[in-house]
Amino acid sequence: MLFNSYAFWIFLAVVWAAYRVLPHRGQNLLLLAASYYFYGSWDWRFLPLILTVTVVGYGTALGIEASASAKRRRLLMAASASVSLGLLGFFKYWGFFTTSAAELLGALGFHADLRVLNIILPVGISFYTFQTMSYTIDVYRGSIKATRCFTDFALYVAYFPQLVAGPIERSTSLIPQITSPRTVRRGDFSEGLHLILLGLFLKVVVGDNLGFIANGVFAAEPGKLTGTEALVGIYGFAFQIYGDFAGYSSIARGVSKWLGIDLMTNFRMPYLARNPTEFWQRWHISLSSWLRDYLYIPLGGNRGSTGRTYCNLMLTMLLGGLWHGAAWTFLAWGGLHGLILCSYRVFGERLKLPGRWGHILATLGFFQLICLGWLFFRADSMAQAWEMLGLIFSRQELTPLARYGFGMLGFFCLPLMGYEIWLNRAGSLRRLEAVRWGWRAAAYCYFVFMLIVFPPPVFGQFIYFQF
Amino acid sequence: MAAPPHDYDALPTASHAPSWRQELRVIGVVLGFVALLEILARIVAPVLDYDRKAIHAFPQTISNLTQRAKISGAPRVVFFGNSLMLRGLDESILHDALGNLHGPAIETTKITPVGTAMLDWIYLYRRYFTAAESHPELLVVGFVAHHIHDQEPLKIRRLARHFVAKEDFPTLWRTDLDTFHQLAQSALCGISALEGDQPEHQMAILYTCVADYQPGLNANHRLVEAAAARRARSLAASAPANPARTTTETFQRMQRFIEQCQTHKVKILFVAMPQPDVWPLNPDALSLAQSHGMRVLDARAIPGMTKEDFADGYHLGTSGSQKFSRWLAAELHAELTRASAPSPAQ
Repeated sequence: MLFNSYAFWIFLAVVWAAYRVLPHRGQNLLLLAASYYFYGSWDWRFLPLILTVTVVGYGTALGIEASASAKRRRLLMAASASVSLGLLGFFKYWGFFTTSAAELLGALGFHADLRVLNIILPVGISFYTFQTMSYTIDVYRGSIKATRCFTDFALYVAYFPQLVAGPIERSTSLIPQITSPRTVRRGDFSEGLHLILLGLFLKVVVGDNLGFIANGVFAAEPGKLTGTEALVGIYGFAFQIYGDFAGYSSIARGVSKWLGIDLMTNFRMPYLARNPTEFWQRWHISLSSWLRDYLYIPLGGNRGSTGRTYCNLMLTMLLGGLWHGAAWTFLAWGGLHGLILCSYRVFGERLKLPGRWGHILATLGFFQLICLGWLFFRADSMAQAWEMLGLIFSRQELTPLARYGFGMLGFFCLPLMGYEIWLNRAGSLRRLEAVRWGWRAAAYCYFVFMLIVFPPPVFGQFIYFQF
Repeated sequence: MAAPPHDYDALPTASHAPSWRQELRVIGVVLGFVALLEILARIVAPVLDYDRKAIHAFPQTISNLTQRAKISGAPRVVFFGNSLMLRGLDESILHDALGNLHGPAIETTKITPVGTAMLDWIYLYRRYFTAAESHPELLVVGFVAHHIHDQEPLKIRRLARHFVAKEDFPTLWRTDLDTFHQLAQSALCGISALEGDQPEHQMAILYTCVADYQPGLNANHRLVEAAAARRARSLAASAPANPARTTTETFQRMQRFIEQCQTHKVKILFVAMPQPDVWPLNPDALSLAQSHGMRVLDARAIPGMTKEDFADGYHLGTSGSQKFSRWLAAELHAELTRASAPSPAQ
């Protein structure tokens, strides 16, 4: 059940209508049942998996809290993490590691008959696994009390608006909202409406339309592209993945607002970032802050030597890349961002461009670096990524496909970027809610017009469902 | 990866969040805007493009044919299909050629909306040939392989907007649509011109705003299709031959179309249309037509037709249209003569 399907909105209307008339406990049970139905509508066979993750997280957190022995607490924590990461590793990385190991052994002259299983990746497994782990770690650290009510905890793991593609919520933020009664707050409806319309616009209009171009370019046979077309494909993908993922997050937040639950902001105008530090405060914030709090800082963060800090940064970004999928291209993407972050730590202050034009140049320049990362992220193989990179610096030619691609980028992205610059100037994602209602109505009319007239040639799945 | 500098999620000023009432006003404006767009879409619908003009004129076209036949008493022949028949047949050449052959007089018209296939034709016939006296004596249906089998993908917007009659929607939902999404979209397109004609609106705007829109889009389509074909080939090569997994063409829709016409005593003459290369005609389709007493004329390799007779590698050009029209006139002459000849029993 996709957010951009009619079925989802009917499902939401039914859930919302029942939700409004139920008391708090009933609301939680309804949301839990709706969440399992939502997840089961993809593949009911994975329901036991999410239940297993839930039971393990619930039980170990209670065990950790009840235990006075530090050793026993550590053991329970390790057991919980092993189960979560074990399931994630099996479903997501088994194929990659066995194939890579077999290739490596083959290159060394050994014949290895390692068993490669064709495992279907459960939708959203990386998201709910990380969310559950954050809860167990928070209980272990004493940041939050373990939840006694199993259904409340199960709802924390499976809450349907953010179940399959985030934002990866923190227990400290979401659990209190589940366990406490919710009230109807002024502004929730308007903020929800804004988030949902913007999210649908990002996904259906920007993401899917530019995805069609990116898919064409990245599907081209070697030798069939010019450098300009390759560039169009990469820019197209940059806005496809942004529209797709930020769109999903925005709709998830909007839907949740209507249910009276706040989810964290996952994107803040990321392509207006001027440097890598800023970019990671704006892009997939729930994952980057998760990696910061549960990986980078525990590794030592920047508290050790300079070399150690760089090691920590590289390791965090490489694992961040691997989180997205089991492929060398994702590792290359993570590694490239790690290198950019390290380089920024070394040269950043010296390379700062002053003034308004300096900011503009820095933003445009850094966007090219982000796109370089997207090239590796999207490419089907490292060979394809290198080939396209080579083309960009060797065969520039403005073909009809390139002109069409740039035209489509301008048509769909310029209004979006203009809107984001306007938001960025106020330092607020909610600026539209504060203007006179007529302006808001005009903006919504534009969103609705684009949604009706410019749906994509092919409706796309959300890219992040596969991660 | 430091903490965010400030709260982007707060309202930028101390102003209060918009009230329910204010937001309802916003929604009211948006709904009014959509209603205005719908009115505009309905106004421009009949003149959106050549094809829409023809579709909106179908009732008049059919009524004119009926009137002409009433006056002349000649049998009615409707040339049915899509752009292949539309651009392939020159009615004046056909009439001249029939006259030269001293064939019987006939009243003809074309019902050839572009980009249509068998399922569209089923519903189109039901929607526009409603009056008892509107059914022709002969329906000449032009097709190539993919137009007649059940595996041809649906074009739901067009089908629901232009070809399905309101009373046929339950049949469409029950018989031809698989998912709830398709069902909802067909219902929306049935009631809204804005939804139903959306591809034309989109194309008109993008044509104006985006340089090289059509050639770029075509190039993009070619890349996507080539990749899909490569994937299919590699899948077929890697998977062992499994007869259960091969897709076979089925012809349920064609059967429905034939039976529907039979109930109105309309005779169908299927015409396998010419293409630059001779294409394989599925024997199942052939035997299905024949088992219902319908004939299939084979125009796949008309003598003297060359690749130069095609305008764009798919549709016939001027010279091809002349050759095809003369060939069809000869075939029609034979068919009409056979039909009017007294049977041996008489």
